[in-house]
Amino acid sequence: MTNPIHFEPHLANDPVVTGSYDFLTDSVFDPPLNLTPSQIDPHQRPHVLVELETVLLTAPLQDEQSTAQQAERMTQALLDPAISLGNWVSRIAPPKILAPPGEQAHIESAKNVNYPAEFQSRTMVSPSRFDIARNGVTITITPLLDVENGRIDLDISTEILGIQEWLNYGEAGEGEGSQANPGDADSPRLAANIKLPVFKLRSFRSQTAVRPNEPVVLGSVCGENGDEPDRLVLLQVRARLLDQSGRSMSFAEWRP
Amino acid sequence: MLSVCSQNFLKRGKLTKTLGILCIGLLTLGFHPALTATEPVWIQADVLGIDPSQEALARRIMGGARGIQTSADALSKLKQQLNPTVILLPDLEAAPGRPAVVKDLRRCIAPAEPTGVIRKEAGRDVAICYPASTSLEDTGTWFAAAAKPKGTNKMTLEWSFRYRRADWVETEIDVTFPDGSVRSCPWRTPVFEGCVSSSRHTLKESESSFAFVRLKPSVTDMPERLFLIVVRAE
Repeated sequence: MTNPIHFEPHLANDPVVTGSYDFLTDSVFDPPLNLTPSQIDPHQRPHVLVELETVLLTAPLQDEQSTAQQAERMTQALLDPAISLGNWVSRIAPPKILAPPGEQAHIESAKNVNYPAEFQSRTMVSPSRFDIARNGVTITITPLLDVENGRIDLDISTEILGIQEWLNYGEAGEGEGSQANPGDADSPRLAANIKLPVFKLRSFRSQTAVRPNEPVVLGSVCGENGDEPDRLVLLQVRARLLDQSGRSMSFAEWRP
Repeated sequence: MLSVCSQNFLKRGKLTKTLGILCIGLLTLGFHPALTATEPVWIQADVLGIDPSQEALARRIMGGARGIQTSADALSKLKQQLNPTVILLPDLEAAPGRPAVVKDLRRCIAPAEPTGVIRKEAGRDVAICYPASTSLEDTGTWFAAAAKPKGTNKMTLEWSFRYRRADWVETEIDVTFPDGSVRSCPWRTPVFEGCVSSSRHTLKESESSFAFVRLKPSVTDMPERLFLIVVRAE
């Protein structure tokens, strides 16, 4: 059991926490970072953080409306929370997270899938080592400040991983061995029952620029003819500047 | 398709023209911004799967020299005449000179290191084959592109397309067992093949960069494939 934690940056009397937030463990991965002038660009003034607010909508493509119509409807719902979309849309609204300019903010909403990566056998074949796939959504955002133009440049990577199917690599030979090699008629050969996952991985990396506190929406559908019906993914990102105490600030205030 | 709607740019009238389907309904009055050294660049890629027997016709339709196409007419003509399959890739936005990347992959855990063990079953030896280890293998489409303004109304566009596919092959392989004997075992494993193409062109505003890429099967009997990649940036 995990204990949800309240993760808000406006903690005037507490240390400002930055780093990665993981839905699975509800933990902050990285220790708090202490901003020093050497950690940010020399032309940038210290003691500024970028607060990132993200909302992710995913939905299967609807047959009864075009992708454009569906995308428009979902985009409107992102921009206007009063619009309800119903339960055909999955909505992930992670806590706001802070990143110093130039540092990665990392948000995951995923569940661990353990899959066998190595096998061994004494009397029967069994997995001897497992790897972990983080099945879900990972968003990585790196903000940079463009002081000249009063905007925040965002390098945004979204990765969506899901299990597509399980393949049994062992099923090919069952029961066929002794016929293929008559010399070994008394020793039929079998492949073990070895089921391994096949993942579907969609990953997008875009770079855009926003004014503080004004949202940008990115979306995508991809796939090839003949693929299973796909999902539409929309990601809204809003970024703003905070000082070390968690107070919102503008570029104008930040200038010397 | 992917597009980017920036509300703040929308308010300021700086959003680039036709950012794609997601902005339909939101954008009606977009216009081309002047190319600057700092504005993000919008990159659109069309990847079409064409019947390889139609390559000559496809090349004739596209025409152009050095893989530069001067209008979208040829592409729409090709779509009408050849009915290609379409690999949907999102449109991308990137800072000048920095890449935008999209991956649409199928990731499998491929068996490796075939190993054997002999087990007594109902009074007789049974040879069992299993993979001692596995490897992570990706198939699908990778696309990366970067664009950089170069002078007035020109830009350098650099892109890379990669396609990899797998065929699951059922075969017999020789495995050395603990008693020293070598036996053939049934084995099911993926075989991979792929193609890569990249291009770098200096383009005017209305031009696009294109390339034909042929994937010839070398190991398996998977069908030959021909891709046409058309990339443009604003």
